[in-house]
Amino acid sequence: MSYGRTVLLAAGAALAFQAGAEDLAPGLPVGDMVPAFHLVDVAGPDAGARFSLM
Amino acid sequence: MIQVWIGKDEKANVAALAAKLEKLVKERSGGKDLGDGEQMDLLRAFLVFIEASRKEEAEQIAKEQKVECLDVGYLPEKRKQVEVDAYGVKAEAKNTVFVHKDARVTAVFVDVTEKDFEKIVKAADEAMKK
Repeated sequence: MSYGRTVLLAAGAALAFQAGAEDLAPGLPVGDMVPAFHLVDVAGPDAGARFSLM
Repeated sequence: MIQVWIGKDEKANVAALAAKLEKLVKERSGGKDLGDGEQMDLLRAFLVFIEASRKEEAEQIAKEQKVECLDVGYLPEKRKQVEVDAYGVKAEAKNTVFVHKDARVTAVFVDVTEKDFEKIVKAADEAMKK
């Protein structure tokens, strides 16, 4: 395999990785307000509680 | 506050994250005296399974890791999609971590493992300083 082809493949793999990581990033970005959410707690300080956080 | 949403993550990694979160919350909480015998938790963390079908796994992990300070739970089936959509959590992600202070997101991580847990510690400490 030529050097040029190796470089191209590596660049392609890096781009694919970046795209993959971005795909998994959640829609809620840094700086946004955290929405309330409902949780059923099975362990911890509020174990057994069914509550809305926030 | 730290929220760790568990998606497709395997039990071993979730257990490792639970152990580290428990230790972190224990170290960072209860430090500020509010008077009248009350102490403010400086840091709180939630480990949340998106799928209610993993309830037993959540209980097992909490028991095995002797969880006291970390809240472990799951999303109620009826509310699951609403919560997932509100946070924009991707179904393919093993886990999604939100660090927030005063209800505003200060850091977001995806697919965190035991090995790179330190970035959560740094983000939480940074948020607590603000």
